[in-house]
Amino acid sequence: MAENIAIDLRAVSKVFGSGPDEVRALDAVSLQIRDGEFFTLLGPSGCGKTTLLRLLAGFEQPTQGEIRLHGQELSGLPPFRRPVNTVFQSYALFPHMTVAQNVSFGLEMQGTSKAEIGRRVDEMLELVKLAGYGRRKPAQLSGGQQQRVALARALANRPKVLLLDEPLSALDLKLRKEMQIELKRLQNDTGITFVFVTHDQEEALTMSDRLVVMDSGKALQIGSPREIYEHPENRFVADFIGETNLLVARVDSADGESGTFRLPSGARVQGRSRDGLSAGAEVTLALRPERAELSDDPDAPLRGRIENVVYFGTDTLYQVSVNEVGLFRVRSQNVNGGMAAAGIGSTVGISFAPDAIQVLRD
Amino acid sequence: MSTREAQAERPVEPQAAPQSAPQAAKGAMRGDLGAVRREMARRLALLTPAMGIIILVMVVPLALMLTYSFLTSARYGGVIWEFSTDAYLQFLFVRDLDDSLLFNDTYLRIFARSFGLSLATMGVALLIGFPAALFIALQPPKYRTMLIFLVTIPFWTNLLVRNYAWILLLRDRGLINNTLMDLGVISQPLPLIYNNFGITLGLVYSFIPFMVLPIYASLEKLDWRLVEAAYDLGANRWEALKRVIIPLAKPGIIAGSVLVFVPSLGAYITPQLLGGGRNLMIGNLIQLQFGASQNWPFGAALAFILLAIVLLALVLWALRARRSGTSLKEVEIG
Repeated sequence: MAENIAIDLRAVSKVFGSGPDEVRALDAVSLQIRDGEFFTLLGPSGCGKTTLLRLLAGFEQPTQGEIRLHGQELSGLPPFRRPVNTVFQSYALFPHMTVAQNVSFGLEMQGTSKAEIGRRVDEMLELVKLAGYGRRKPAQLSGGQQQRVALARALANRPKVLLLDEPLSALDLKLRKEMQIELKRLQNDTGITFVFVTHDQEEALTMSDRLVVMDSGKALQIGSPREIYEHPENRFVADFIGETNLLVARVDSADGESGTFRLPSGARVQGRSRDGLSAGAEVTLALRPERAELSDDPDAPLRGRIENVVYFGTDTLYQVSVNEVGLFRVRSQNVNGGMAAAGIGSTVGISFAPDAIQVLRD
Repeated sequence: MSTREAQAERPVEPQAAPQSAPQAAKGAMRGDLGAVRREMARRLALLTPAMGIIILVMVVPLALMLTYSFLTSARYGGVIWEFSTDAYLQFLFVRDLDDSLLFNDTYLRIFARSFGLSLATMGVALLIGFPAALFIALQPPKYRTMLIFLVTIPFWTNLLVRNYAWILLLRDRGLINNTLMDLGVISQPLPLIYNNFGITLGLVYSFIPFMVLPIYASLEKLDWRLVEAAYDLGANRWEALKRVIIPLAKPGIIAGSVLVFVPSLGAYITPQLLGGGRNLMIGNLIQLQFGASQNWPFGAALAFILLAIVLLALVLWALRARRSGTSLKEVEIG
């Protein structure tokens, strides 16, 4: 198991400034990144994800804690001694060098032979589909091409881990989608561990093998995209990833697996439980809009009046105002050609399967 | 000086130009030539004050000097209005008793010494100025302004006073020699002044802000993420300096070098005071012609020879820079 771990962070904290200006950018973050996986650091700006990446690259040193790369302690090692390369958000291509010189820079620093450098540069440009562009200057390339050069440059040294700092944020939507696929392909082809920073939850869900959701310097939840989306552990994760309905409820009865919760309306619902819930405690339940459905059942746990219907093509979003809950969102697939099941102003019931309910930690 | 900037901007120009050209053509075709003419007149009127000042303070004195350099020297200063190329001949030749010209390298040697000392000044100023500028650029922004301000402080005092201060420090019974002798480090005073060392030291001191400021300006603009990228790719500090920082600071380094070299070449006070008048530089030689030697045409001719050499050097250098720039572009396109 241990040899599978590429990066091992143990209670890593990073504090900038001191006294009243002190900023705790990372707060006791512990996580493990497996060898060869596509791992994403996801969170809003200022959550500490870029700081974490800079600690891995060696541009910053942790205030506390340990970072190990394949078992080797990294603290104190300058960036140029780490078998780690970075794709910068701004690409940071050397403007005074040609594309080929940019790509060969790292190889020259390693003391690779001239013949080998020439071969590897060609290979790398081939890999990122820029063969023949070697003699151009970065300023003569489009944003997407610059992005590819940055990738080729970072991969040329065959790093153990490739760090990517929001590399796609400067690209337009279409190019971004292309590069997402391209990055996945590169990661598959090279087998290198990718650590990818983004604030785009959709990007994180579609690309990652596993991801960590971060906020205020803390790692809130680590898991596969499916685990994170289907079973968010707390309110921030539930809210940050995708749409969610939050319901305040009281615990009726609960064991480790499932429980019954009483909604303010008095209705009882079944849901997935977690440890340490005692009867009577107030909890927040999360429910994804697509896991709920409109129903005619008079015993449906929630009832409300449809305030708005938004057509999205593949599905339709109903905004239902429910007493003592507020606006509740239901998404239903447009399997019947997009005809609305109910119009604005009609009263409907909302029902859901027991495993759709997730109890959050606040 | 800004060839790199020009290169960086080049790809933008071809896009901008075709857009504006048809618009201008359309305006002219519409037949409102009167409006175009009025616009031209307005622009000319706006240019007039600036052009007037340049003509008055630059072109007129230079023309006056050029005229003087082709006149005959009067015995007690001033000129006789009689055309003569004697002043220029005097630079390389002396008239023998039989009126034949003999080659004389005295003045060439003074020019050569001036160029040598100016190059040395430039080199030393670069060796001190670049690390200083780098140091300032790496400080937190609130300290940078303060440090740049400190660099300019010597300008507040008269150059003459500052050079006298150096005499007090450097002379045989000066602060440095006295201290070293009192400490028993040396028994004889070190020859710190009235030689090339003294002149170079004085020139470096006088002109180093001209080296620091432009280099700082280009380092301050530098994207430090590029340096991080170099570290990330395995470059140590020295490699990052050599491969990334210095190439990107080149416009500032060149500007600073020119700004130190050119005034050093014409320096007058420092070689006079710290060279003790024994090691003439061009500036002193020219001053001598307008002063003690009372040979105004020769002084004017010397000034023009200096001007011609400096201009020629700058033009050649600019041509070379452009040629390497274009050849680079051809390679990229090909």
